[in-house]
Amino acid sequence: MDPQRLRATIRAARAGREEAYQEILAAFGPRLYGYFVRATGSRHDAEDLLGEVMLRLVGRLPEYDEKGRFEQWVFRIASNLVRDRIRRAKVRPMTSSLEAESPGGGVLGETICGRGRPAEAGLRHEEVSQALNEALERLDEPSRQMVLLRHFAEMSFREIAEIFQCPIGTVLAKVHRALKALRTVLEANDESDAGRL
Amino acid sequence: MNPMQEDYERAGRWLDGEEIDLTPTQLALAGEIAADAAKVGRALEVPLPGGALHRVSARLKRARRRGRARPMRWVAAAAAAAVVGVGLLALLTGGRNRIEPAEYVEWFLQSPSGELDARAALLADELAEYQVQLTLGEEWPVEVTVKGLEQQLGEFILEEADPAEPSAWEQWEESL
Repeated sequence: MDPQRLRATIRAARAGREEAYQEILAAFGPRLYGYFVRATGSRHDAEDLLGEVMLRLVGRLPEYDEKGRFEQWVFRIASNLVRDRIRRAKVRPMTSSLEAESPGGGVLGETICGRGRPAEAGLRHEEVSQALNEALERLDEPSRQMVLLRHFAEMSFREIAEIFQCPIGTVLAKVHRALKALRTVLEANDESDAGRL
Repeated sequence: MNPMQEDYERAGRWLDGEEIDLTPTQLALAGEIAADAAKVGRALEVPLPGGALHRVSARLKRARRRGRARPMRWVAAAAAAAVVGVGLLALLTGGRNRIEPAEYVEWFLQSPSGELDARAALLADELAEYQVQLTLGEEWPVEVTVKGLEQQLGEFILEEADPAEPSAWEQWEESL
């Protein structure tokens, strides 16, 4: 959404127009959902949190001063929700099962059996996704959040540094190490793919 | 490559878009981070399941409807409380004053307890008049009449009295 349209949408939402909230949901929903899935490891929690963040948005939109970036503001709310959810849950459910919903929205078992995406590709995608979730789980919480906020919220390193109240250098060092760990996992999966062929 | 804190600091600012000069180490560091971010970023993407936006949207609509209805419920409750309050106030102050004394007497006489009290008062008056006549010695079968009146009055009081308690008439008789 271009900045001018976004400003108009925010004003309309503040005026209480239903369609403006729907437009915000359509514009930011997919990225917020991806962020929640990777932050909690649960697609069910991700959808619940997406609803939750939209409800918070309705209540807190009058506080938004339009000086900062809207995305950053929304993702700050989202990251607070994730932090609260993790604190409450204590245990992050990062495992998937065949009964679990696949990233495509279908049941994973059905995907493998060929009713969703082609069985082999679906299974492969799930394996990589699962491996990535496990690698994310092994990261410390700030590093994981920094990587996810950088990717999904498109935050600058300075903005991330403000959130975590630390120097940019520290943020970049953590992101660098985290990305290296995740890349290693992906490369290992690529190699196992090459081995199968 | 063994970057220091300052290398990270400058590489970070450069990646944020600041136009600063980087050393070869810093440039290599920034390049590596950007490449890793691109590769990992592609793998991090999660497609939104079909129907998810629709479900969230429906939840949002429901919540907003409830949010709009809540203040209306408070307004309705406040209005009802105000009506009851004004009614009570009118009853306790203005309402009572608007009744004229004559109307009140009429209402009192029409009420069951008012009728009974009026009958009792009439009998008592008649009794007092007969007692005066008896004292003055007029030729009139006063005694019989007085006794009859006393009996009527006694029966009347006994009808209204609590059987467990001694009647006012009995108490009066005992006091004589």
